[in-house]
Amino acid sequence: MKKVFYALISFFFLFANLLHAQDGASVNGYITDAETGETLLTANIALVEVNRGTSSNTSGYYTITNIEPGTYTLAASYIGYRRFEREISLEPGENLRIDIEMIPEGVQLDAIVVESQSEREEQKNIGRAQVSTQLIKELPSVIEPDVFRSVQLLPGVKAASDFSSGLYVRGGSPDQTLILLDETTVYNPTHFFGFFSTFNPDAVKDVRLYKGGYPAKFGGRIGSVLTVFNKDGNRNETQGSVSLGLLASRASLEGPLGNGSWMLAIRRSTLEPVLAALRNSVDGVPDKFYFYDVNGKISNDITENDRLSLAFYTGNDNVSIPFQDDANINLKYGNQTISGQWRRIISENLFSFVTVTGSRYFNEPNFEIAGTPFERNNEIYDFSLKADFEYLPNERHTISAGLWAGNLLLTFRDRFDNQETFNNRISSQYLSAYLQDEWRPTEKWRINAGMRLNTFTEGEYIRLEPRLSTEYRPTDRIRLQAAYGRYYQYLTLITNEAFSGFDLWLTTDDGVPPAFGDQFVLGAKTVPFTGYGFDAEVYYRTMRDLFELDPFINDAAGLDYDELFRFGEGYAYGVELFFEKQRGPFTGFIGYTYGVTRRKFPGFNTPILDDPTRARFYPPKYDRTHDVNITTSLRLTDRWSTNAVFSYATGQAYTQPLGRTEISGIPWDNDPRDIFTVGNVNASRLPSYHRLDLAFSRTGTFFGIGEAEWQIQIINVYSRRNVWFYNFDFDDNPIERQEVNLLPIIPSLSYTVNF
Amino acid sequence: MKISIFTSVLLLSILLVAGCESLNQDTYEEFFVIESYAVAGRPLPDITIKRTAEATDFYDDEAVRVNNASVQLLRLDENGATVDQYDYVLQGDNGVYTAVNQVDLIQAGDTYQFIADVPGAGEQIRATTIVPDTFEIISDIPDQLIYQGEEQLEITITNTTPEFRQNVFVFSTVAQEPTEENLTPFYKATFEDDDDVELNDFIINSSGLINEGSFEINPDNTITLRFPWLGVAFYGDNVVVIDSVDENLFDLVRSQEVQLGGSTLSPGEIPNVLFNTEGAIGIFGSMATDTVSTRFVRGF
Repeated sequence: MKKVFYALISFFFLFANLLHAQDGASVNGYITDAETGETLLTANIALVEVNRGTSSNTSGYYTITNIEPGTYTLAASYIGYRRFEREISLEPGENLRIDIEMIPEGVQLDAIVVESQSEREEQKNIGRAQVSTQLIKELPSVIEPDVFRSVQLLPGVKAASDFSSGLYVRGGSPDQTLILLDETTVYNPTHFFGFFSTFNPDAVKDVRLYKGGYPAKFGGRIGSVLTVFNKDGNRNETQGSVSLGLLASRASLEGPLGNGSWMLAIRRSTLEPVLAALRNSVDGVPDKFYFYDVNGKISNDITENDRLSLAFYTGNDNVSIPFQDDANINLKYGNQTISGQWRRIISENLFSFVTVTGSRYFNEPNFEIAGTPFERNNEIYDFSLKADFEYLPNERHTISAGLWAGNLLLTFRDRFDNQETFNNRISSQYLSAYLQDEWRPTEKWRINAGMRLNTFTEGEYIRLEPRLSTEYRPTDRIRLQAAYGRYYQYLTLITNEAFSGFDLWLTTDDGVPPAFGDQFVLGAKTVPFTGYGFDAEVYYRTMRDLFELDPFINDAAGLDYDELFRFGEGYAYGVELFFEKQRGPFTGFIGYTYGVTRRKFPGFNTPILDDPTRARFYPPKYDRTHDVNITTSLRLTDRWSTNAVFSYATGQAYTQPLGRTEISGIPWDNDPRDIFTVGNVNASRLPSYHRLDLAFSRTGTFFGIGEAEWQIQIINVYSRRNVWFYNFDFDDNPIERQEVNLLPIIPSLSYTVNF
Repeated sequence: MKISIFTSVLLLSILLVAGCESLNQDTYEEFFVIESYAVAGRPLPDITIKRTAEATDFYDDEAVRVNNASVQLLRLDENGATVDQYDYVLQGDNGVYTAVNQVDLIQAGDTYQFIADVPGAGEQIRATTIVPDTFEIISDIPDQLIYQGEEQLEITITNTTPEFRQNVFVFSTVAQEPTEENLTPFYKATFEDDDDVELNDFIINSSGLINEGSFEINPDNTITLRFPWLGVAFYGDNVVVIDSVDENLFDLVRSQEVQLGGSTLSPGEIPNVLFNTEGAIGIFGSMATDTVSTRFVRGF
């Protein structure tokens, strides 16, 4: 393992020192918002006359190399900003640095924009989707605007229920999606029992989801990757906002700092007055129930080519409920992350990022019932160092390479009645390295090939992950794409769909090999008319060696680590269609997904009295065959705008009990035990789900201090009582099936001031 | 815009995959159900045989009893050969079969197998258990303990060789003075808050399945168990029962509790219970047991 590590380190130092002599000229720089100085990620930059273009990277840096000397029009475009154009002249061998400042569009005009072939949204790469932070704040949401709930509207992404913000991407469970905040892994990105995510929309700059076929730069999950980048802060002036809502309130502040900027965003629940009022008349009201999160970042350009940033997140949910005399529940969980990054422009064709990250997740539920305490403590510490390089030797190749090395410490301890019943501590080092080349042999073809090497010391696993994607552009409005990738995962999440407060992560070890899967994706991205997009993707993915906590384990004490798990497999396939209108006073999108996902675990879903080691595939609960989401945004007047979301999905899977019996002779029971017999697990379907949400916004001013906005939302306008699951009550004879419903109609009001 | 061949292929694939897979909801199938518990050192157990009923029908446990089975209990050696054979007869018409031999006792560590034939049934019913080793409570038990006081009930038992992975215990209190006034605070609040809860629900109060790994093993290879206060539902005299259960009971109880919910499965996802039986569902379990008595008094 050490030899591999040293060899890779040597390779990358050698690689970093390579400089390719060029006769051609180059132009490069950062692309930013002219008002705030925020970098713009995946903006489109091109030389119009020669149809050469690129997109800015995740640091907002762009470069176009190997340009014949001459005079050109440098153009840049980005949704929500006015087009940038400047005439430039390049001498032989000249390296021209131009930092582009994009002016935001005050009003969305239905203008026709002449674009070059290269000025195409890079976010249309295969398997990729992006959600704008403005859309996240505008869309109607359950009480709080939420990043994850907005992502759930994209095709290929499903929600388990109204109560869960978990992302079920292309048939995968939430732990199959890697969540990164400023390059740092977040292990439980939820608040309020999973109701919404930990990402504060005021702090977020960029959200993108790699639904499948994701590139070699990422790894560690067999499904997908969600990257969230927080704002750097306004480099030009100090500004802020305050937002008051029914559940929580937010405040954010940002401003210039020397040759850089800073940003701070805070959010806290504001339920205490409501709880205090209820406590006098209602039993079981929590003594304590709050959550908060704080996001912060400082950035500074120490030279023209070197930028440093330090970002942190801390968040916490804390609940204490006296649910009975002599009984109470305390739950505390949260995340802390920190990342420090050094971005360096080494030369006109070589860019590097070095990032140090730290992440902590903790979960401490404890109950005390009748003087008997139950305590659990689960913590994850993840510290890592990443180095990424982008090298453009010529106009045909973009070579990316990187290393990610870290240490993962996971502790899991249970105590019952003040005695330790389970104690497991896993410390594992991990090292990943990748190399990827995007090759553009002709104007119409693009081939991206890469390899990722993963190592995980707990269990001594070394795995190779090949990645390949291609793109062919038969016309300037059509992109045909295909991708393949092999992915490995060394972690599994124990969670409950209804409640994420007890989430627990476990890793591979001896006897517990990593899960892995292959993904195959075909896609077509088209621009049927200017300002419109139509995308289609087909995917198929396998899941092997899935490892998850055996649901039949009632007590982990005395078990070997590998005995905690059950091992199985799965697969998923589907078709996604996405149609969007991007410009004008009326915008929106329609996303449709046809998706199928299945799982199989030995001893589960076997016919009664059959060999228990046999198994049959079954759909997990969150398998919904058809899923449609329609979002619209309409500017009614200068002050008023409205947004709507309509969701329709065919029913989730559930198990229909077929037979029943009683077991009445167990010596320590007072009453008989009821037992169901079932056939195929999850072979029935709940009724279809549909819901309409509306939001109305009115902008104005707040005593001349700043802009203000009232937002009125109505969730579930026609109060459709969607079914979450069926409960079967044995107290009635015959058994009565009861519906447990999801959210009814919920009005909500918020007021935001920007200054 | 022309629809390209490629887009056509994508649309066609929707139709193809739409027809590919369907998961049919199957229908009710009737099963025989057996229930019997062998206790080390006690007479041969009764066995009840009945049928399942459809989940949507009114359930009458008496109406589903099977009264025409022929039943035998076998004691097997380590090679599976029959050492003893016991005949069973129906008692009344309630599906309960009793051993003719009421003299022989269940031996700890031995293997027993029920076999039953029901006329018209597709296959013979078989269920096997290996009786857990006996153990003994060797610690002195106080005559009286203050509820949630400084001294907690500790029970030391002799260690035994587990028949499977590790021993699994169940602790129960059997209240001897089960009145509403004698309820301990948590159970009193539960009783008062829920109209569906009755006093009888707490007379036998059980810890559920607890692995031997939860307890410390002493240097002399005995095991000391601390009895949790949660197990005490009534003040007054209580008999504390410790059971060491076999793998069949372990599987049935833990999987039946998963059916009720509360595990990592999604709501509405219901698995079958783990039955270690052939030709029928149900349980032929076994246990070793010992008891002590003490009195729990109110603290001040």
